[in-house]
Amino acid sequence: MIPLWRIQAIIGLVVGLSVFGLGFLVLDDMSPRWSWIALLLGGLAVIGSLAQLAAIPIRYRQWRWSLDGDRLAVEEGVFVHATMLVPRNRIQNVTTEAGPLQRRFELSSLTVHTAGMRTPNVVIPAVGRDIARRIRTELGHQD
Amino acid sequence: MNNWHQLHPVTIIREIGVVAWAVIGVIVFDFGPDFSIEAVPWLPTGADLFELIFAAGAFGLAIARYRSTRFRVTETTIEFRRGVLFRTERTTRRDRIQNVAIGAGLLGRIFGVNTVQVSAGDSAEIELTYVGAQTAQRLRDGLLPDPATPPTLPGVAGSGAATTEAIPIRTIAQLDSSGFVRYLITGPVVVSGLFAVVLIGLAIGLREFWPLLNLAAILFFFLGAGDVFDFRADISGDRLQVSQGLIRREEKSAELDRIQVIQVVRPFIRGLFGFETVRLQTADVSGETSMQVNMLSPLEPAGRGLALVADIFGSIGVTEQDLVPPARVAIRRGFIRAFISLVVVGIVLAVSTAIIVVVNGLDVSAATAIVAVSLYLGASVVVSFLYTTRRYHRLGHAVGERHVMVSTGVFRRRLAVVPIAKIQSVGMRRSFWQRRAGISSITIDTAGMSLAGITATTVIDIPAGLGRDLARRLGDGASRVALPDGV
Repeated sequence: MIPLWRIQAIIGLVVGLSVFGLGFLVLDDMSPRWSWIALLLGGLAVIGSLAQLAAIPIRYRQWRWSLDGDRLAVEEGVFVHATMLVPRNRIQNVTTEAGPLQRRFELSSLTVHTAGMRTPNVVIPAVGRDIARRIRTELGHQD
Repeated sequence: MNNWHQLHPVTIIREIGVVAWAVIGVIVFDFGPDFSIEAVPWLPTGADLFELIFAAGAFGLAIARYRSTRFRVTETTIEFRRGVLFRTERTTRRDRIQNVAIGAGLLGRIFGVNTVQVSAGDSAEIELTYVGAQTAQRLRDGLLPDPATPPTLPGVAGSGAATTEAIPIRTIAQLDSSGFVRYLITGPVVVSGLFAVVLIGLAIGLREFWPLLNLAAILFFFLGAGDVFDFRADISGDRLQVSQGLIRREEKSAELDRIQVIQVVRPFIRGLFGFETVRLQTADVSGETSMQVNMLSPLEPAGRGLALVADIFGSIGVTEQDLVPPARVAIRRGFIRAFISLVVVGIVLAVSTAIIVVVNGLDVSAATAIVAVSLYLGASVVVSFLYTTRRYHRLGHAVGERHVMVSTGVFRRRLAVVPIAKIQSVGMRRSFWQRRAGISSITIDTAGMSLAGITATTVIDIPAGLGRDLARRLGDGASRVALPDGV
């Protein structure tokens, strides 16, 4: 999960830098007086992305999930720590999703849907593909 | 149907459709006066080649998406998978299915194919666009429960002997004309509206005041209370029936076992007059009934609301006296939050005043400013203390054998009663400050619409250990009760 998040953050950083770099070139060409705005925003984006990169191990440590007995439990959050408990017999739907990067790492995200109105979806962002399939099958079939 | 099936090939046309608009856009753009594809150095020369590649890509992607989309129906589930780059796999238990809808858009009608939507009452539908008409029919007939098995509850159409007997009707709440007037004058919309009218009237003079007041009174009458005119709630068999409204008369009904939350609300002004309002929320996922959030009784004498809750849920096992208050540290936390909010408002006021003083060249001495700021800060301390004390006494929770009762709201007191069996999930939330203070908030989620007017049932600022126990207890309690279709 950590390498995946790192690659995603780096891709975000590269895309962000490209956008702001392009913005800088355009602004520098049209109105050099304002080109510093693109530099400033680009700098902030770089700082934000680097902070995000540095926080990945902390984010990872905060993520926990368990499927034991009658319930699914998910814990997450760095600043606001949240725990969700979903009774197994309240699960309406289970979805697994995998983008190209996730597939490269043989990972899937797993979303458990309930009929709840406030928090209808509980998401586990990355679990092993086979584990995700097993859980999906297990939760989908069993009461 | 145990094997994986593909959708109808017409789906390819639909899949192309999304991207085809982009191709058309490129072609139109290409023939525009200012655009030349040659100006883009890294593209092959000639717009035709570019468009051809684009179109071929769109077609290829559409076919790949079509080929990647499969579904199958097993003994216990319906499964769906889709996606070329981002792959989605979804499994819905057949016993959780609330609705199977068959539809056909223009394209569907031209080619005689249908879209089938399978909903389990949650946000993740399975949509099969398109399948053949016969397949759609087979899916609907196969996935929905057999209607030949009639429900055994009394009062439900098709339940044998019950159809020949008259079902007794019991009125549990009614709003007569005097109650309607009381509801009107204690309603926040009416009171605040009339207050605004009086202020405007005083501002523009007495002569224009009375016609405006009359007009506003009529307006607020319809806005604030017209919908509860001649309100009546009856229990008939296993159903709750509500009729209400003056101009638009509504007749609604809901199954009692679809009720998820009942909330006794005591708005500040109504509470001062010794009244409260009772509201409920149902989970009408089938769309056959329309009572998602509604009044159970617009006006009850304070304290009678819980008796009404017991009329619906049966004995709830806990009373207001059983409510456990939040952690003592919540007082300090509430005080700091209230005081900081007032200080922020004070800063905005001070800056605005300073701008007015400077712009108009007014003569305000430093001593006057210091006195004003000191008075404001003093008043903020008093107000924050009163607010926090009231908040502490308003918050609380109590857990019975089958129900949980949660009290929230400082000026608008809300007492929510949730059957533990109806809980969908339990969340425990701890912000940075809550972790430092060793407290947590517990959110109890039930089924229903997210646009519901009933706010979240949240147990606020209880000790973290108690929070963990409560979450576990409620989660375990919900696990023990299997609801036939999950709501």
